[in-house]
Amino acid sequence: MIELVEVSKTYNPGRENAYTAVREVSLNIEPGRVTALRGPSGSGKTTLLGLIGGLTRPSSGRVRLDGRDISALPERFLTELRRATFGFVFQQFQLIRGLSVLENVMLPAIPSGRPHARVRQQALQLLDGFGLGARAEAKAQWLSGGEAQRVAIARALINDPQIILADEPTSHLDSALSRQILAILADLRAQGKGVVISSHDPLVFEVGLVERVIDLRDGRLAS
Amino acid sequence: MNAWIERQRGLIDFSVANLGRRRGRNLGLFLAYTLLVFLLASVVLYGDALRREARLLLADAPELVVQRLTAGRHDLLPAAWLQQLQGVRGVRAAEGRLWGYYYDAAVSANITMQVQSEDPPAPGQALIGAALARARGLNVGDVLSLRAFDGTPYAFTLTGVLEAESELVSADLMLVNAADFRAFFGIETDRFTDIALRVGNQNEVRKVAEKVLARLPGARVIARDEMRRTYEAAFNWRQGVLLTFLSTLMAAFALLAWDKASGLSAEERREIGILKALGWDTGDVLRMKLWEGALVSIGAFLAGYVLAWLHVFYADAPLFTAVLKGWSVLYPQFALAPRVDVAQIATLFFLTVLPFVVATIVPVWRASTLDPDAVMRE
Amino acid sequence: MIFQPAALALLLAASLNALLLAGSGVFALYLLKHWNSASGGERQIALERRTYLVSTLIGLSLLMGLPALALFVHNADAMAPFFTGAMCAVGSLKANDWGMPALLVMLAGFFVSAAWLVLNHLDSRGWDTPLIRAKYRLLLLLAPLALAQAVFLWLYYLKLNPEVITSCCGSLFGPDSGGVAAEMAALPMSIAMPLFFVGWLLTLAVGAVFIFRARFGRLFGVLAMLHFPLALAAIVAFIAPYIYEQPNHHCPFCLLQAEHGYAGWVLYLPLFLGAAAGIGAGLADSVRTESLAAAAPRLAASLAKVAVIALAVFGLLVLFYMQRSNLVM
Repeated sequence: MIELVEVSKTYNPGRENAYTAVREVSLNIEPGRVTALRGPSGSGKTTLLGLIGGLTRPSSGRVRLDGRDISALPERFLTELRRATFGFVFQQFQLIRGLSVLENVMLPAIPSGRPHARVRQQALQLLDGFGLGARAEAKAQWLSGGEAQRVAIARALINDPQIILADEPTSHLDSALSRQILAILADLRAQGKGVVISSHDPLVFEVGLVERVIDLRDGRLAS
Repeated sequence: MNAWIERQRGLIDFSVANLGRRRGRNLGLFLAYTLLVFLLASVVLYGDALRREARLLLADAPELVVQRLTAGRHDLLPAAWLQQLQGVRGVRAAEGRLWGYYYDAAVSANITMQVQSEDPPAPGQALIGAALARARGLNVGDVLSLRAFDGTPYAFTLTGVLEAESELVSADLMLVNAADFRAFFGIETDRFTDIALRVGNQNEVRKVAEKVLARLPGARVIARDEMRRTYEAAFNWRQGVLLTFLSTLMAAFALLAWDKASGLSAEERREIGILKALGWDTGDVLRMKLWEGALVSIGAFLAGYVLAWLHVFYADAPLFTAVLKGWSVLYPQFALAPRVDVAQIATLFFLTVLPFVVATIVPVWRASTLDPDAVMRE
Repeated sequence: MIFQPAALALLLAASLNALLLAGSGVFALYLLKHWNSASGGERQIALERRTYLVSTLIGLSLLMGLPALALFVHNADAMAPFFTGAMCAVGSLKANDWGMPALLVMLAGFFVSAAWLVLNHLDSRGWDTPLIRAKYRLLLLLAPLALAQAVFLWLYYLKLNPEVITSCCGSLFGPDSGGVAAEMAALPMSIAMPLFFVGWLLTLAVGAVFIFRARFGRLFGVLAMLHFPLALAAIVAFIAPYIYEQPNHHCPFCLLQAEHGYAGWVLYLPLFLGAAAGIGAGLADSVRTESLAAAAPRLAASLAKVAVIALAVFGLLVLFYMQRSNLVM
């Protein structure tokens, strides 16, 4: 359970280019459901997603994870919590070039200090599940868009988080690939994981995946 | 503990992959680093080897050398002094020595002519250094004709050439017997160049020197320890001058390392952003970067040290031949023996790796404090 | 005299160390004024980020500190032939007024930075960073030590004069020369030996109780701290004479030389390790914060294990050297 209480985020505060992306937003995210943040570009979707996932620190307001205030937690502990709770899928896949698919998937597990062999096995299983078993040793830059997005999802799952946060997961894919990705997210929901998507792609809202829609405009809740 | 080791292992794996991916970018720094270690290590290895040789050489040298001064100048001393010195309490043995210089106009060089008291060459025979043999085009069995003190030619038959490899400065040495030496330089039989004194008890050296001076007011006494101190000071000073000169290189290298570490490419920034977004803590990125630096340092240090080793001990330090002449305070002979010394390695480590680490630590830290949501804001 | 590779290396290391720690000291003042762990604001995050840098710097400082200490003593030993009258490191260190202070400050710096890293390790495991103020107050002590060390080293090497006739270790550690060192040397073996072994066994026993029963942790820390000077006194009073096989040779520095099988290095390494780990264990055990209720005892126990093993090794080495010696008392 994630609670946001009157959360605002201002970038570059006190400077000329100060910019408030999210204003006094309060909301709860329930685990095990699919929630979508909807709004035009510039409405603060991505920032809000970052605030929910503990990636972005609020300028004011409180963020609670299972009742615990994480807004002022030292970075080391916040990162640990974040690693265990959330899996992120970024807009542009954000794989590291020059590393293999397998190495990319294993990256988030390195700081946890879990045994290398076990993480490797788990990564291979995930890749197999996404039909990428044969591509494990391929370099990340050789992948197609659909493959890259699946690798990014596999990477988000390596630490077995409760909640997957996906920022515009279909924005760089055609309809067929988009459906494939949404099917994967539906599958994760079926496994009991929570999913939070930011998107303005109508397809995302048509397939019947999303259980709750949060509309955003100018950094505020629109509803 | 296991988790800690696994984490470090993961970070090291990633650092290795990183270095591999950016070979081109890291190569220049690595080469500069290796060169710096090579130069500094050469100076330190070379200087230490010379110092060690000097120490070994002096270990065999007599505790005291007695010379005669006439009007403040070094003069031949009478053989009668020998008997007098043998009577001094604490003196175990006294030996008169004969040596001198001969200017050889044919090759425009000074020859150090010395009497070999143990197993001396037969009359009319001599041993010479390899450099001298080469310059004069002489082989064993040839005759070397030199002008004696009165201008008459004096012929020596060569019975051997002193090995050049083992005795760097024996190059210009010529060993003869006492009778030839006296005849050649016109020195009477009751004269010596100086006297070597052996003292039984090391703690009495100072006392013996005082007694010698009291008994022979015209003498100058040179203590082995005094010479050793002079040598050490000379070596330290030369080594220090070279190192000080190299410290400008060191500063330039630190600047290069700092610049490399702080001038992150957009690609590298993006990657660090990804890692942080994926749940790497500032400390994890920092450690990964420090491992990267450590791997580069270890590689460059080993490479530079091994190259310096080969340079000094197997290639006779060609880079230092110019400075080498200045080291020739150390006569008559020495050979550089390879040796590893922990303190020396620690010294080199402080002089090379520490500046690198200090120069890169702040930029590396700065890079690792990137906001974790930077990737999302692109 | 300053122109000597090892001296240049030490001066470089000490100067860089002083520079980095002085910077950290200024930051410590700033942090103590502005730290507010309840805040998630910009300044707090900036402060927090800088603490990563400071921890790394102090880690580096400790990592360099011990080799620097060893190199300093070794180099002093190697310089002995320069000085008339010097036989070992003592002569070089006593060649002017700054050698001994430099050595003492380096020793103090080693122990304080080890303690700092123990606090830092614990602090980083508590979500509310409970030790941050204690840690940065201690840093305010560490920074002047680093400065003093650099200043003393510069003065020492700059003022070294080979013409000086210095004293040999016999005059410092001889029974009739006065001062603390002499009193240690003059201590009769019949008193010094039992005193040392009783202290040693007591320290080990309390350490064992702490490891197995989780009690008397602070007492163990204090004992480990006291054991260090006791062991040094014992080395001067009877261990060194046993190794030299000469009843009147008490010098703790000649032990470092090759002709005594580098016994000094063999003895000092576990002694230093044991003292640092033992003090760290006591320190960790005295932390009673809720957020460290699990981490502090765990760290204290593992440090205590290291300390007990190291101190046990030290004492056994002493027994080994005494057993092997031909000296009959």
